[in-house]
Amino acid sequence: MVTSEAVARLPYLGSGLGYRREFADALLADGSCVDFVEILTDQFIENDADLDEVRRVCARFPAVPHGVGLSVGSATGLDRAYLAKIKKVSDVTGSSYYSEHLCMTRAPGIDIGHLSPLMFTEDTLRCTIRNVTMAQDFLDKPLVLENVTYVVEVPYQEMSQAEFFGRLVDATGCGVLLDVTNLYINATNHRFDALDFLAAMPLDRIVQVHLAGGFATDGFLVDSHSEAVGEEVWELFATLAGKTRIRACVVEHDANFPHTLAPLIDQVNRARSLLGDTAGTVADGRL
Amino acid sequence: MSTAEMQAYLARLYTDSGFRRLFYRDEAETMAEYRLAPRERQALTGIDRRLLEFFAASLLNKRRKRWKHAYPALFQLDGPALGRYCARYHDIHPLRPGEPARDEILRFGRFMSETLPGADDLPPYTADLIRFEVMALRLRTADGGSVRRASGLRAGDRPARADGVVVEAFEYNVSEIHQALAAGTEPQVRAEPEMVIGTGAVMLAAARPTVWLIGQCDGTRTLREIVAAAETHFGQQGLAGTIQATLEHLVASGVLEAGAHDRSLSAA
Repeated sequence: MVTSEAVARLPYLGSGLGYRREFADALLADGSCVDFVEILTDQFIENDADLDEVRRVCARFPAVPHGVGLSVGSATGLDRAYLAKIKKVSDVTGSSYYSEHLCMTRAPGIDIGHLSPLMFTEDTLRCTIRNVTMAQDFLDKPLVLENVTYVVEVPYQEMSQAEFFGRLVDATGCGVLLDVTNLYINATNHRFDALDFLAAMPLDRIVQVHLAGGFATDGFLVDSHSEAVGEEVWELFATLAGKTRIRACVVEHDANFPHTLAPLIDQVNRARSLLGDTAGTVADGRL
Repeated sequence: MSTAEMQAYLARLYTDSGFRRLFYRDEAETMAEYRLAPRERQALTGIDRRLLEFFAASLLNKRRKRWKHAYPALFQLDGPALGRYCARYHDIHPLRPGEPARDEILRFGRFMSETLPGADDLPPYTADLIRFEVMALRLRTADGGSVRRASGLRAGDRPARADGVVVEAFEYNVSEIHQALAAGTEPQVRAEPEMVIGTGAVMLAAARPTVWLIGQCDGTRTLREIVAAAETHFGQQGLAGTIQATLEHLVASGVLEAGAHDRSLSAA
């Protein structure tokens, strides 16, 4: 059973980059440019050749698996076949945690195809606690859950998202992946104060941060992971880093790739400078 | 309150445009199918409809990007007509939980292969084009088999079609059309039947005589017997050299395997 002490003991990883096949060759050729990589689990769960690729990446860098299909908020429970698939990838990475999203992605018979927001109610909290506990037991490591962007909000909530996060981490021992870009986008699109949100979050349970760049369309910010991280996001990250010890930070970039890795590495380096040198244990470079 | 029912309702609202249209006209009728608490019903009536449509459109766009990546030549013809069929597929065939991405993309390809022969609002070769791209995708993503590449065929060899080889017939010069569209250029279209043979990453446009020859290679006939059959079929003598060269090319391409050798026959 995962406890909050497990999250407290997670090592400092530093500043990393989301691993993408589009620039894999360049990344693997220069191992010194990042402290670790984050792999998208769902790209590697369909066949053994994919696991071989994960092994090659892990031989080069410490790696953390990051999934999108767990749907921890689903009231109908977790997909056990999917859990078995992601465990293979998780075990190959040897990481000390597995990251996912606080959201739902499916209902019986329907895969929504995107990370969709939860209604933050007592019943949803009960379901999520059950699912997170089951997933942690099965994967034999803590989950670290990310805040997602949302377009549609169902106007019925029994608690705030921050309270939901706080009660969830207390009940399960899981950690938080604070996506600073997502927070900035949600705060802008839905007109709330990002700093108020941070003040209400269990900051001591934040393990990792995501940073990415998006664009605006029809007066709406979109989390496209296609641009450089914006200055407002850097400012928000700097504020957060001043409030709590962050063990890891990942720059994400999924589309509109630059011609070389340099712009992405510049962002990884900038993130590292904001992380500072926090104490942690990285005994042999493994997580 | 049933959270499971509420989540099921929302998932359908996000992904099914017909359900959304009914929701806009008569919310109560859509909610009657689900066991929802009064507070949940009230919450649903308060959803921002503009943002709901924005989100729903983003879900379709996300799927379209995957289809476009898998079928690039087809999406060179993108416009209102193709968009209509994509939206129809999105409504009729939502993503299935746990379905591998390759399977879903092939499912889309099958739907378009069935739909586009009746599409008079797209170029007449479009149905052939999607079938060609589905064939290519299947071959690219199939589990690879080993291919024995012989340096030459002997009279006693019994060539056979290699595992995973696919032969498809088309009504247009689809391989040239695909090549042009993939290059972003205007295709030269001819309503000429074409056979395409595919194996692994290789797709070859083949003349009907070649396809007939491949049909003879079932692992039971020796090369000598195939030559004899061909000379009878085509009404021509002296075809041994041509046929041997053709079959050796097909072996080198992975379409055929040299097969077992009949040691009772002397070399040609």
